[in-house]
Amino acid sequence: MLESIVALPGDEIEIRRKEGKELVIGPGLRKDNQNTIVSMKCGLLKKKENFFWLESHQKRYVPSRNEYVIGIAVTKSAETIKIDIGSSEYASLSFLAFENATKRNKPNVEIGDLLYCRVLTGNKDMEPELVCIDAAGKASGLGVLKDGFMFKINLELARRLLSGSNQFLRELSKNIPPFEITIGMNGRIWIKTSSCKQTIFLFQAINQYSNVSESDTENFIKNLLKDYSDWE
Amino acid sequence: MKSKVNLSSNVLQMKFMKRTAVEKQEELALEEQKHQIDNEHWYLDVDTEKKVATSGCSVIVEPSYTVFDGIGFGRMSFNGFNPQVEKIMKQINGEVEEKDDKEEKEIDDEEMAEHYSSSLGNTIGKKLGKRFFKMPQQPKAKRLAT
Repeated sequence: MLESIVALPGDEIEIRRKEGKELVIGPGLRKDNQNTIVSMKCGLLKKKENFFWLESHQKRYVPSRNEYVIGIAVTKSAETIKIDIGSSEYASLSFLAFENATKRNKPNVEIGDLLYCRVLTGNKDMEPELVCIDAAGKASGLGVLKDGFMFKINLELARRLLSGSNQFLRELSKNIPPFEITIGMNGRIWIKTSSCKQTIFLFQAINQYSNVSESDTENFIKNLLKDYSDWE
Repeated sequence: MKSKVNLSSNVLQMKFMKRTAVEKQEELALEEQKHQIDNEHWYLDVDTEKKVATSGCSVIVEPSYTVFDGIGFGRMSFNGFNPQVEKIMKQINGEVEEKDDKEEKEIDDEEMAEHYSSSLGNTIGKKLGKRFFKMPQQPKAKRLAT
């Protein structure tokens, strides 16, 4: 692992690369005309094999393809629903992009409903487009989220909770009653539990987690659970 | 727009139609030329030398974080709150549980063989026996008549 390098917008980043191996640069980095790599945000430079990207604090969501987001239905028209996904523009979701939907059989979506969807097109010049089905036409977890409670977090934390290596929710769930959670890449979290108390507990736990490093996670969970038992 | 009426090739071959035939050919050639110009119009003359220089190192730009951080599916359920979601989670995580064959079978193979070896004579044997000694049915016509 690379020691963390802090990059400021406009910094030139020198990457020594092996011949014949492609270099993949991610969000926050840009290739210049002079063939140098320049950062566009301030953040930490991260590296994994030949992948380079900037991890930065951000609250505005920029849609890109194949990301899963939580949206709020804003307006309904004959064929599409406008959805607020926290980006600069509302995204459009076709009524036909649901499981088992036909022209006659439209899905039941009301204004104000929460939807978990996948971004189909995320282009800076175009309106984002969402779908609620996978490639096989199955819903597989996408669609309207009923009941529950939604709150916002920063994008960095959302990505952290979603990354495969993160064990926070898995470890936490071992010691508390059953619950359901949906994390959108756009920094929205929806939780559903059987008690109001647990919802508040999870809300606070996740919000506090943004200030906890990976290595402190274990201790943090222990302290949380101590608090939780005091509540009962 | 009305479509132009075309003369057949046989008619154009006739001597008195020669002038029209030549005119037509010219028209076709002109159209082809025009088409070619149209196509060329869209190609940019790229300096080939410059192109080679920039492609020395290949850099792929990926706008999404998903590729970098191993970000997975965001819908999760814990301790059996929503079994449907937990099933999807398992599928995505590739934790396909192998079904235990032995536990699912309620009746042993041997048990089944034993059962059928003794009971077949009573069940299916009886059925077959009945059919052999069945009385022939009365003709249909007779029944209709009565």
